[in-house]
Amino acid sequence: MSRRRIGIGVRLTAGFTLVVVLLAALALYAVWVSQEALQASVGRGSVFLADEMLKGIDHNLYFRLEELQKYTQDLTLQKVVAGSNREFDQLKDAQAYITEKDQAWTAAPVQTVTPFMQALLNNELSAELNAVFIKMYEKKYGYAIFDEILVTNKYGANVAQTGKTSDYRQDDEEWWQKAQEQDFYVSNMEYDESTGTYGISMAVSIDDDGGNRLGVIKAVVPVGGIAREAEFAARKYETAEIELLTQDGRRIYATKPFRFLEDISDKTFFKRIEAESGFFVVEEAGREKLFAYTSSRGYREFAGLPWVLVVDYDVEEVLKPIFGLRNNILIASAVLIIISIVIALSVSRSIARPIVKFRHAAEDIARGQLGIQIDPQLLAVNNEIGDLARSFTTMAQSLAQRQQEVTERTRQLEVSQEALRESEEKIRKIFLSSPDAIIVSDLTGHITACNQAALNEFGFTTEKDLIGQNGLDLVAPQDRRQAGKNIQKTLKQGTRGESQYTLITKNGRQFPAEVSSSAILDAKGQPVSFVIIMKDISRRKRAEEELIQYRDHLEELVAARTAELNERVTEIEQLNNAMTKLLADLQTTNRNLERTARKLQVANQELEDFAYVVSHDLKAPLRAITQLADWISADYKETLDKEGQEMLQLLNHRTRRMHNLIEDILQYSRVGRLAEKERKIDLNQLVREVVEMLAPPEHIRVTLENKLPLVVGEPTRLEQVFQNLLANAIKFIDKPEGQIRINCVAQAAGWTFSIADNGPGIEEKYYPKIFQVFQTLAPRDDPESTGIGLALVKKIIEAWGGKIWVESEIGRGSAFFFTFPQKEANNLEKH
Amino acid sequence: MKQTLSQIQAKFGPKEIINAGVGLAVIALLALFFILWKGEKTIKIGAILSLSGSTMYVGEETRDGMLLAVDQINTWGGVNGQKIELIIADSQADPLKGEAAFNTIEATHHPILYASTLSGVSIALAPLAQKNQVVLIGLATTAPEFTRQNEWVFRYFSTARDEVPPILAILAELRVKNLGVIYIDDAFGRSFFVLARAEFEKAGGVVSGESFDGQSLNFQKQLARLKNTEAIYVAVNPGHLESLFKQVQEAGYNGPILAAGNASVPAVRSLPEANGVYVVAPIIYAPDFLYAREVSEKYEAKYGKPFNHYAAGGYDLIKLLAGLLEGKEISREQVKKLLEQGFTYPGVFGELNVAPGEHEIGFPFHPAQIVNGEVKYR
Repeated sequence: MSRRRIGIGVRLTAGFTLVVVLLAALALYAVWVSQEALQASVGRGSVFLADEMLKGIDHNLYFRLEELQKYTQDLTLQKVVAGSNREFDQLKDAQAYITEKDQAWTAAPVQTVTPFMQALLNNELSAELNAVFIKMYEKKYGYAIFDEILVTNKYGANVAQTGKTSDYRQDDEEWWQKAQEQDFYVSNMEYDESTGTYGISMAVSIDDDGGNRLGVIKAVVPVGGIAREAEFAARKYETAEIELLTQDGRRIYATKPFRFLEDISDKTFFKRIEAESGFFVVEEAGREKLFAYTSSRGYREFAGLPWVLVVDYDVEEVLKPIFGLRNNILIASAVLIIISIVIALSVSRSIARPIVKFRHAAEDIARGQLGIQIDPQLLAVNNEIGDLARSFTTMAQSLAQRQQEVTERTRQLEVSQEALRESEEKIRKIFLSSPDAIIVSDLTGHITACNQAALNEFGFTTEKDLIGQNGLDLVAPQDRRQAGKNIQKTLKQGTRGESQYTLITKNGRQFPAEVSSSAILDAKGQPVSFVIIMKDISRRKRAEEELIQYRDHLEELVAARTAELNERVTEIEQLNNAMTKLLADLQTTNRNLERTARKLQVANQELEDFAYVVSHDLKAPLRAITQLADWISADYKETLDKEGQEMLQLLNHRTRRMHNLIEDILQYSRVGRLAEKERKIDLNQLVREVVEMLAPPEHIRVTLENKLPLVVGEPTRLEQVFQNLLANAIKFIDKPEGQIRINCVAQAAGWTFSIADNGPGIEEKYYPKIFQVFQTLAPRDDPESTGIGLALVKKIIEAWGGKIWVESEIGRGSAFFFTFPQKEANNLEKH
Repeated sequence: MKQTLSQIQAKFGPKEIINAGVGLAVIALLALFFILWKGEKTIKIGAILSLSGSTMYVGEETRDGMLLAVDQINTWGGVNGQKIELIIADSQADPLKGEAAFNTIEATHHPILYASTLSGVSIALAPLAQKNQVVLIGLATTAPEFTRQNEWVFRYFSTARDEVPPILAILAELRVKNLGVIYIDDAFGRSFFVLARAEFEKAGGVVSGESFDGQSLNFQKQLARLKNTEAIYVAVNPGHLESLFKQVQEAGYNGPILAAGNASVPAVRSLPEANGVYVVAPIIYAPDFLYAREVSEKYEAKYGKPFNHYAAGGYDLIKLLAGLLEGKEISREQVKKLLEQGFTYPGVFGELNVAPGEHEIGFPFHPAQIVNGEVKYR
């Protein structure tokens, strides 16, 4: 049978709560005991109080009786009563007189006061009685101590009275007779017709000093006044109520509204009244009340009245301190239970949570997760939990270390096993795939394993055929003995031995074999088996035999090879001779070429010299002519007529044109012949300088449409190109606002430059012509137009490997394009 | 799927513990509340009182007396386990406002009975009580007609019939034959004047009556006309008495001044001008009347002011009702039935004997004189 599992938290909570509940129960039990004790104490006290109150009532009644008795000795009273007696004594028939007056008295209407009555009510004694017994107490206490006082003479006739009585004759009344007989009389509660209320009649005989009966004085004592006088003693509690009951359960007086003589015998509390006195608790009107009661016992000669005085209190008020204590205990218990539950939960959590963590950690460890981390807060706790946590951590770390060691060992073992397995596999493969026959035998020589080569070698199909046989059976009989000795030697020495035997196959074929054997030792170094490797050396034997035969035929072969080699050497010598001859021819040709090159160089020098000489020699007379013309023009300016001056000017123009022509020819001839050292050129700067040099008129605007590149080239040639093209453009612009736009477009292998103008344009038929020498569209007399400019430009550009062309539209302008190759400065950035 | 205890415990974090603690605390507090809270239904009593104006004193004292009794009763569980709830409204001594207050309380609270002060207001409320079949008890309501021909209306206060005889006794003692009366021209004043004149003239005296409207505090004309009388009896509201007494002194009137019972209250009798005035007073001011003295001490302790018979009326009415209803079914009809069947009640005014069928629950007044602020019974 499995026991139901109850957690620590539940146990602790239940335990704490149980303790608190037990304490609360104990406290409540103490309260209950105190409550009972207090209730009993109050009950007994209340009984005592009720007893005292009732005694007080009895005493009051007795004192009133005594007061009456004392008053009977009053001289005025005695005098009046005695006087009345004397008057009645003198009557012929006093009884008849009384009867007559009584009849008249009773015959009068209830509300009517006859003069006879009035006289009695207003006589001196009546006034004194009223003042002494009624008014005085009313003023003092607020209620009447005596309701009525009546005095009769010895005949029973009224002598004085404070209120109207129901009749005039009293000798027929019980109180009068008893008073006459017993000196005094106290009635039970009775209805008094004269006052219309219930009261107690007490009567005392009036005696003279000689003890003679003079009359009777009677007083009606109101019940309320009697009880009320004593009730204040019971006002210990606000809820206190006092009731005066007859023994048969009729209410005579109460401190709360009541109906006189109301029958309350069916009330629960009245049914509990059994003994002479006592107390009990019952529920009345929805409230728990403590009732205490006692019966009248009289005082001295006054026997008392058959009354029960009941005092009741609200239990809640009586036991207020206890109830307060009880409520406080209940509240405190509730608070303590809550606190205890919270503490229990907290404590249980502080215990159970680490345990749960330990359990989880243990489960993790069980699962092999040794790298667990115990909560640092637990480790910091300085109690048993902390000790456990630290021990647990130490244990876990130790286990982790062990596991790590085991893991490392396992890994090493696995590595070893793997190596071993690989080794075994390797050996097995070697064993299986070895071309040599290998067999393994036990110490008795019986074969326990063999490879395929062994099967093949000995002519067996399956291992079963070979395994189990004695290995010596595979040795030819002639070598078998020696083989057995060698095996024994191997076993003894544990070393490998190599021998050559003749082996024998299944079919009886014998073949030579090289046999090596080695012992396999156990861990103690003792041989358990041995391995025998057998290599068929039949072929080797045959090869050795063939080698011997080859050695015998080697000389013949060498002689044959030497003859072949000699033939080849002869062929090579012949080929070498042919090559030498060819080389001599080439040298001759080369020398011829060098001579031709020198001739060409001389020719070029001569041509250059010629051009220089021509230009220089031609330029000298031209300068002389020009100078002479200038002199003539200067000296004979006044002499020459207009035509002469025009002729001189024409001469001047022609000579300058000739000079320019010669200069251009000289330049043209130098292109491609004289190379200038190339360098990096900033075309932007170069073009700016060219434009500044040309100084175009103000109406012509030269614009660089984009930034020109940095190129590598001959600066003078580039300047000649831009100078000629720009000069042509400036020269031919016929518009009031001339525009020359210089543009450059980068290409894959260089740049394409364009110089466009808004000049008159060139007809397409002139396109080829304008690039030819001495071809110009300008007037022949223009000294600046030699017809060499564009030819020079074209020659320069083509010398670079570029080309030049023109695009034009008549009336709108022309654009000259030329390409410029990108040279060595590849590292220069294109713009 | 069932969870093991450890799993449940493992889920307990600080938040869960706090929540559990708070939950338990709430449950415990609710349990305590239901254990200690015992009041469900209350016994509602409507009180339409004059809490403002010249009769404010009457209303406030009556209210405070009622509240004292209610507190005492409720402290110990109320009546039959039900606490008493007093629904108080100010009539402002205005019958119309009193009616409006009645209708409001009737609509909102439906009390088991009403109490009201002042004759004018109480008379106006009487038909409403009849119409709604609810008992109306007049406090400080002296007008005789209040209780006439209305089975739901009761008076718990003295009337001229209670107060005039002791006044006549004083007059007889003083051998006054020519009496002047200054009375407020309302139900209260007229009833006192009419009865006093009838009884005094029956005894052979001569009465001269002077009324005033209750608004003016100038009594010079009335005093001038009564200057030749042997004594002056005043039946006005308490708020008028100080001015009246002063003007009597200023007028040089030498005859004795007699006043209705409302002059016996501490607020009036403590006036210097009230010294020597003859009054009628209930027994509550008698120092030997222990029962009233006990209540008086509690009243003074609670409110810090002297006890008076208006407060006593309010106090005693609540006590009377609580006593009558104890152990009985609580309903409007029951209240009426209990009042009508007659009872004896030893309250603060002495022992009251109320005959069956009687709607007048009066209390006796006694001849007295104000001497140095105290009531001296004669």
